[in-house]
Amino acid sequence: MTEIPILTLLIVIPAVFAGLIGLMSAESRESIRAVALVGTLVTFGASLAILPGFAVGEPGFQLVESAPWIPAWGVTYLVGVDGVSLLLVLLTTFIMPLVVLAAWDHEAGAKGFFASLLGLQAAMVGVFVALDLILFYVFFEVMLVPMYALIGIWGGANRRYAAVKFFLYTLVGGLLMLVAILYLYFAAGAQSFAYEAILGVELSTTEQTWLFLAFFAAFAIKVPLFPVHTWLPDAHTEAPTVGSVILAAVLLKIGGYGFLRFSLPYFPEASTTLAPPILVLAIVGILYGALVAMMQSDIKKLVAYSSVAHLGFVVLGIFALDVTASAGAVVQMVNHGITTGALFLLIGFMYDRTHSRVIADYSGLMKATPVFGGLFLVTAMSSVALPGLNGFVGEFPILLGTFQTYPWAAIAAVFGVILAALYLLWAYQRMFHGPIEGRAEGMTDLNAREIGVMAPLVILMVAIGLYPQPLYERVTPTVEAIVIGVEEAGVATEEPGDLSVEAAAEEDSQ
Amino acid sequence: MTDLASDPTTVDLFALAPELSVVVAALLILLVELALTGERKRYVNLIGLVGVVAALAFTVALWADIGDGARAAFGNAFVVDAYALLFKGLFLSVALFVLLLSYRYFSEFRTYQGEYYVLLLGSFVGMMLMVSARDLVMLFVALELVSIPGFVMAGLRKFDLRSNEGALKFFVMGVLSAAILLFGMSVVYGVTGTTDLAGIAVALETGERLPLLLAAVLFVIVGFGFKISAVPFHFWAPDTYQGSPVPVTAFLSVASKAAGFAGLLQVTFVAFAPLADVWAPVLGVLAILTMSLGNLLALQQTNVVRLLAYSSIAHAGYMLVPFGVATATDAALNSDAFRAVLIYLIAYAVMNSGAFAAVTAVTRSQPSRLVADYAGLGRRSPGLAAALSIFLLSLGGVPPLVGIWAKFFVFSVAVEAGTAFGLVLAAAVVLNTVVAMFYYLAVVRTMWMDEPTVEEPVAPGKALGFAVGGLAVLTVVLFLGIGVFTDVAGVSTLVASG
Repeated sequence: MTEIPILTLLIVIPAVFAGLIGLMSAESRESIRAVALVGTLVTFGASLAILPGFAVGEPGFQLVESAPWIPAWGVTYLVGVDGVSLLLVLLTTFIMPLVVLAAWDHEAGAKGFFASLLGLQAAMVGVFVALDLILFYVFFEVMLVPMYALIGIWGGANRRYAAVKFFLYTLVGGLLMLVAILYLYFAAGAQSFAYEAILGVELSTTEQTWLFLAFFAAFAIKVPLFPVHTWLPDAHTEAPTVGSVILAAVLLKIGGYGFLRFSLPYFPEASTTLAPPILVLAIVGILYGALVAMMQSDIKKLVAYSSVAHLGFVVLGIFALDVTASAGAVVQMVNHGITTGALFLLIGFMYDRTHSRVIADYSGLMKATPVFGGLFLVTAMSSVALPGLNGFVGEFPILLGTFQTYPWAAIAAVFGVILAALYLLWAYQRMFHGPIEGRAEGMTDLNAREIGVMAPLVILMVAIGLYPQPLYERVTPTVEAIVIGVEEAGVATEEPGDLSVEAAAEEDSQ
Repeated sequence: MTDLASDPTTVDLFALAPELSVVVAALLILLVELALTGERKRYVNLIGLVGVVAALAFTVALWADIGDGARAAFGNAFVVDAYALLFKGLFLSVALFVLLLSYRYFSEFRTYQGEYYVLLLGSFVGMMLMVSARDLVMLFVALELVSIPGFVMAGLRKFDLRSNEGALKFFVMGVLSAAILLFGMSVVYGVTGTTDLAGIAVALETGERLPLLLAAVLFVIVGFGFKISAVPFHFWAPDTYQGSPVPVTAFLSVASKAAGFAGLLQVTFVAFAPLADVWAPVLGVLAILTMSLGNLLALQQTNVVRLLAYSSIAHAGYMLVPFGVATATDAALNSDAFRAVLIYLIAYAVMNSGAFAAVTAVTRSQPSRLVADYAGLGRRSPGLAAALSIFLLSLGGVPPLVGIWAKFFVFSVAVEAGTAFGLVLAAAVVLNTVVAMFYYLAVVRTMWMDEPTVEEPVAPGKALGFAVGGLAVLTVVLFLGIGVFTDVAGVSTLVASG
């Protein structure tokens, strides 16, 4: 094949630009940030080149590239995308130029800061496209170091604690996953770590359960799912603005991605039997996250806890084991990235001006800073899933699909939607309405650069909200294949139910 | 190996060339140092460098010469095969590195330069003999040749009480373990009637399992346990490491330990292979104890050298894991276990040497060696701080650094064993990796996130700067290119022949 290895380029370009920044003089802040912006823009441009080559409607992996790495051990450099990873890769490459632009005025240690951002981008893209389990593990862990640096060096007052907590939580999950990967490798005949080579391994129920739990640990921490979510509010609150944005927009998605990519296809039986308790955890996360968010006096913490709640919806959608719900979960991951990323950016812009994130410090921002207020309102509406905006087109299918398979879970989750509207709008009301008081006095409105950062995000919120079809038509075939795979495995062990009719029909036709 | 002469008096000079060139260099240093005066004495370092480089060249030439076969001398007591050459290459590279590290340290230190270099090179000759030894007597001689110069080198800083204490502890423990080892070997000889490693394996295969024999096997393992500072024979390590000159500490924690592991590999996987069901569980339990105790004690250290000392004890624990899953029957598994130890040693040598090199650089401007001295190093000397971060994160097992492969192969062999004990070992490594990461990160955090207490940058000097930079690059490059070592054919032939 003489085609351009586009996916590899998406990993290599940011890495090269990070290296380039490493070679530059620490004094030349202006050129460093320019190089960072160019690097992220070039990567975004290159990522758009995936779209024409990506066949819509195909469930499997496309644009696969491979190269030998450690042949003796069956470790290969193997990358490719399907509908799910496509969206997440695009989300990553889309958000990064905005992140660099948002951090345009960053001063302290600009060299390390922008190099970390680009290094992180290379690893994030790598995680989503890796189709070799060891390669996946490597990218999964590589992300730790730049993110640790972003939180630990450029974060808030309690940054050291938050950075170490983030690092160790992820490390534990990652190592358990590594052991499980090795177990799968030997169970599959010790030939290859390629994703598809391990797909059909025969495992006993006990093995499936334990391996599922090992993978689950890695991804549940990443999502994060209640009760292993405690690192997230710390990390979010202490991280610099762009760190929070990346964390919310991309890093948390790795958990949901991992569930869909590995947990469900590899351990269908365990996924089916363990789905109800996981749904309970998801619902606890939704309600608990919402309730704790309501009690926050710090707006950034509020958004951080709202992330716990939103990601609870994603897990709900995935483990509802229903095509509609799972597709909704993937779209919701993208939406959450856009919306929560935007919220963190707005809070960051505000904090840059007033150095306070305390809700009670503000009043009447709508009058003082109308552009800021307007953008915040739209974003908040998207976050509470107002129909017509992107939040709705993700959350609604999740609830719809979950209701088909686990009605009780859907009913419980609806309360989360109500609570979400409550805490965010309440905070909005306190900060933006009323007379101009406190720190709102004298606060300047957003400048052209900041509006430029927000504009693409707001446009996407509206665009996806009105016309989500392009997302769904790419995601659904992949998700359908995954969910049907789980159901088929369930048919083999359980009595056939309504859900497996489609799968059974497909079997008949073959 | 029937084609090789079995006459114990045959000497194959080419096979011995690497050892001989180091011996010649050592003797030359002894003579030349007498003729040099004052400042000039430091130039003896160059003689050592030349000798080591020549030995490396001979090693490469031998590698090309033997192909898939082997050369032998002294009636098969001394064998040069791919396994031995791989280790010799490793030892000589470390020797090169220690010489680079020593140059400025000992030219500033000014005393006993000639003696130091002779002892150092003598110890490396011992290591090279060790990996070629296929006979208990040869092994013992080699082990003592490694250890005894170590006792003296550890005590070189005579004016420092800590150095005296460290050297004395090292000596007492060393002599005790040597006695136990020798006693064990004598019983093994008494029972099997041979000192040849492969011959012992044959005798053990068929022979009766006398309780005395099993005890003797454990005695031999204890002797090596001291060398690799496995719990409970580790007490000497932190004090000795702290008291020794830093280049000596690097030597003890990397080369000397690797030699201990090489010896342990040879006796367990070759000579005692039929008794694996006896020694494997013992070493497995020692592995868990060693890594856990090493890490828990490392957590509490405020002195960087002591922290690295306990961390190196913990790493000995990880390296013992593959021994813990060895079996008497499954040759494929044994071969994989053997390879896991080998790859771990290579990775460990690179990253631990690097860490000690970086510490040496900082010690020069701040001799107290406290973790707190590293505050703000990222701002004072970003390059050095980045390199030390790379080494520490690699020791912790974070990709994209070579340390992850070390852990990977350990996990891999533990899972491959397919036993409950294997999974327990894997779980122990997971837990310990997380604990260890905590203190590695503490140092990294101090370097990058704390305010510097002094402002001036650290100037490591050319030789040391080259060593630190080169090892940092190697840590990354080996991550990508580890495949080179996974295919070393000779690695498994040693096990197969045993």
